[in-house]
Amino acid sequence: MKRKKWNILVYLFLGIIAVFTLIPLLYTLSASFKTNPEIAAGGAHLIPKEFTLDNYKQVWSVGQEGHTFWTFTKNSIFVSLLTVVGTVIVTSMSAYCFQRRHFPGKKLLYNIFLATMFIGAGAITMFPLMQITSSLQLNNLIGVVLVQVFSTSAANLFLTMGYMKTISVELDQAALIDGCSYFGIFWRIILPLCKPILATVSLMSFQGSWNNYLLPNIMTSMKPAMQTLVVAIVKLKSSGGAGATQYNLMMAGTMFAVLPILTIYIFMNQYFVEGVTAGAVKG
Amino acid sequence: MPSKRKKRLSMTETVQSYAMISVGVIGLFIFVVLPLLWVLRYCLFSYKGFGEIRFVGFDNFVRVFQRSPKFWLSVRTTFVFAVGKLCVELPLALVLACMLAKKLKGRTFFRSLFFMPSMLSVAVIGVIFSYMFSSYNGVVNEIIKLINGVGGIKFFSKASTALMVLMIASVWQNFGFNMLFFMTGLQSIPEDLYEAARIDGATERQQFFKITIPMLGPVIQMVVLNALLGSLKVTDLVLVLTDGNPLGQTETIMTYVYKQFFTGSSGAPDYGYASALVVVSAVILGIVTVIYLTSTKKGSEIY
Amino acid sequence: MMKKLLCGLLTVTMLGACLWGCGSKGEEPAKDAGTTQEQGGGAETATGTEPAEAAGDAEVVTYYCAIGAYLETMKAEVDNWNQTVGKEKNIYIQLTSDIDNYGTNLTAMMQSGNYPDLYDYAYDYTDFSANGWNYDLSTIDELSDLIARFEPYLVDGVNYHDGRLVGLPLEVIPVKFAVNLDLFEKNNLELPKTWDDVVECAKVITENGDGVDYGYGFTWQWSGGIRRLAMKSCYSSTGVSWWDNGNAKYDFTPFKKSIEAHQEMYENGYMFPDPSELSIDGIRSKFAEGHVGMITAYGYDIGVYNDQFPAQCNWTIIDCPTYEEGEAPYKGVYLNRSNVGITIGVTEEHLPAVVEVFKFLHSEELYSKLYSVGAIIPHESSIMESTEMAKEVKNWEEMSDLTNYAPLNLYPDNLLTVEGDNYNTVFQAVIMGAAEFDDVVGDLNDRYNAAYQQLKDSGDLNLEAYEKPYTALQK
Repeated sequence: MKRKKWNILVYLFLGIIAVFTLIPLLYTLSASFKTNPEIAAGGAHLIPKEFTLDNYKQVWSVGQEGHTFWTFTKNSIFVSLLTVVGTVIVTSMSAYCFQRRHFPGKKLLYNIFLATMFIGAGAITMFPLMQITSSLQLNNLIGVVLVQVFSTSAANLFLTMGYMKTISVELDQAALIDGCSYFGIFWRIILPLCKPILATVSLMSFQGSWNNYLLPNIMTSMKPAMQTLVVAIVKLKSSGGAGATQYNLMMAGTMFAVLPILTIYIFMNQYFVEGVTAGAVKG
Repeated sequence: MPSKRKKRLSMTETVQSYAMISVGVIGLFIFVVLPLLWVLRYCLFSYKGFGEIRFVGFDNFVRVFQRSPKFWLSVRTTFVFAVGKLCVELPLALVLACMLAKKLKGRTFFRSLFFMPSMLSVAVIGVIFSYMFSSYNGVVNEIIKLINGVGGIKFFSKASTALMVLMIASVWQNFGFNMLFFMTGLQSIPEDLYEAARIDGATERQQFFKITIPMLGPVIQMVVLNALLGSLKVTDLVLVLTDGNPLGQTETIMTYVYKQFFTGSSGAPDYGYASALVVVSAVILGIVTVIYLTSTKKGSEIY
Repeated sequence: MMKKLLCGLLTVTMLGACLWGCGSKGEEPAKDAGTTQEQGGGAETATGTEPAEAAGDAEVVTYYCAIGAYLETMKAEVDNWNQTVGKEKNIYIQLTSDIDNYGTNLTAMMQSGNYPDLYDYAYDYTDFSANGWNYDLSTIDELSDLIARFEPYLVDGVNYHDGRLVGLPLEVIPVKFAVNLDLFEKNNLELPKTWDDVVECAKVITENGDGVDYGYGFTWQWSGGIRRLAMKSCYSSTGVSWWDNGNAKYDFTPFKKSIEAHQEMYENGYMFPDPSELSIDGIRSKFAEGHVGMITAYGYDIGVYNDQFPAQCNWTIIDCPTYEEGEAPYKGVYLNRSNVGITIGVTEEHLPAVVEVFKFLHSEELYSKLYSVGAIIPHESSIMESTEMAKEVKNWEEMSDLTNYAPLNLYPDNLLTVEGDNYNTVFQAVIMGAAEFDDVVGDLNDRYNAAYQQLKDSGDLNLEAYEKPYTALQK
């Protein structure tokens, strides 16, 4: 009896939160089917007065210089995938070293990483970043990837370290006794155990990279071939103050852009579902 | 024999450690530290983007501390925003994580749904929320009119209500992610601990407070720190939703600093003053972090 | 396991390189010819006909623009040129646009040495000249004819910076008022002539509006919204802006009438709710729907109310209101916009191609085409007279009528570092009722004049152009 009552409460709570989450999402979806004047008119209605598929058609054929929607998607996938790979490699190795190992200069480096977290938003360092990447001949998507990987490295580092703390040190010691090298401990023991947090970090960096607008925009300003999807979609929307903003196209484009992330999330879900360390250390 | 082995190990240890973090450190230096230094070098100078770069010593800092009432107002606003929003968002994320970590029907559906807000770009969120809270015919006001019978609230014309909208939008955007982090943390708690507790007759609530929370300690510490710093550094959402209106009362630290760098048509930037602001805000955030880490140190020790 | 790691890395790199290769190879003309033709049909709605790719060896001229309202027309024209004249001369114009963040992106590119060949001189980039990032056009011989054609319209400080010619004129953007005739008729109102009339009309329309129609449309979400909507629409009586060129000082006191009119309208709720939450597009769409009585309108708003938010009411364009009754010395102002500039990144060998494109972008044919679709109003009345409108553009004639209109004077706002709030913020506070105009204007004047003096003393810029006595009458 008590179990049932508890369950009902739980579902009620989840339901309320679900409604709260859904409403703005539904508005985004409905806006993608509305005409621009209708969106700008505002209003509480979800069903469009003038249902139109034009927005989607326009988004699909977005292009400058004949580069199509597909090109931009490819670029986005490329950038985001590489960002994820880079982030996972860098984060896992660095977190392991800071968390488990001791070496001279560790405290100093740790504090430097920490310090970069305090200092502001990415936009401020845009000018010098452009100069640095230009001088390194990295004024392309690879440059975008590198900047993205490293600018969030501090935050990811700390999150991963926090998770690593929960992995018992005794595992390390056991492996050492068995003759494992330090890198071996990392590769064989720690890394597999960190799958959940690394999955989360990957998801976060994929999503951050996918939706990132400012950075790719400025680094690919004059090279439409290299633009990512979100940049192209936001360009669809804007005409600045001298013309009207095309919110309808932006909404339709957003619906497109959401699909890959959703797919990756569902794919990653298995890492969150399975328990990973059931009984790794017994007794 | 043992001592020789120890020496050899510590040498390889150092070398291996350096090798493993080298990529991260080098990358950080080139792409993060260097640009920051580039920006910060102006803090002792005065520079408009053209003309001479003049040395002015600590003048910029004096200005920050003595003649920047709007900056300190934004500091206050930011803290109110961050604390207010986290008090709602983090417990919510934790509770949801616990609920959805267990076997529950529809678990995947709820997880995916709660995660969706963070997939939208900030620009879209800003547009949708400003239309939803519009005073003319926004949906929130329509609901208020239904319940209250009176005309709605002009959310964006008063600082307090505008800040509230910002907080709601930010919670909506971020709770999914934090919920995810907590869920991964929950995965790492061995099942047998719960079993043992159940055998010993502990109730659900006791299990929650005596096992779950302590074991999640380090994860909670880091997630809260991340969320706190992220909230204190909020820029995009504010720029898109209120742009500091009304009258600059919803400016946050980072939007204020951003506007000092990118002045648009309102004048030439003063990079010196702007850099000094960056330094001061970094110090503020640093102090917050240190206070936070030292006071939660106990929580992160487990076993 | 080292091997495993290496293998993993290699695979990923290979995959990445493949994808990247696919992405960039996709531009090869042969491959894309097929896809662009297929896209041709579906793409008509968005981009017109798909452009053919650059021939492999054509000289590419990069043009980074900030065109918003008429971007599609411009793209079509550029494609047309690329396929006709461009093919003959083996030049290909690569047009990329960016509207949000244009200034920031452009500055970042210039600073890092990634110069586009041509860029839009849409804003007052005095610092570009000071940093030596642009070409002095008068040093290019092939352009002397073109320069001579625009000679009567060149203005120091707009086209010349410190003696260097950096841009040629593109268009004039008049500042006028858009009025909803239906609402005026319904309320038996006459078109407003003074700011007092405006407040009166707004009052009547709002009171009879039942919470649906409001008298005046306004927003301060648009950057510099107050300057653009409340200040630039106020020159007819006095011919003075906030910067007094002759006396080289700032004076905001003449704007009392307009700012206090706005204050009254905000206070009494005659403005469409709420300036804090409406973007410029939000309020424009409300006007288009017929719920707003009056709103400041710029030249490009004609395109907005014809194409983007087609107006569902009867509307017209009238001159901006004056401060007092009676005939004003002249009717209003227009903004003077320049066309493109050439950056310093253009090498000697590349210059001839760039000059060709430059000539095209200033050609009478292009200006005429843009005028015919209601995109720009060129300086030269000869072009306007000889062009037939390509389609019906409502109220285009009223907007392009510039008799007795004067160019907006030069003001050095962009160059000053003012401590404290700028005038947009200060006036916003006044309009919202948080301050009184008379209390704040003195301090505002002082701060701006101090900032100007500081700029002058520093010697970083030559400010002569801003201190020439200003004759308000059109040439």
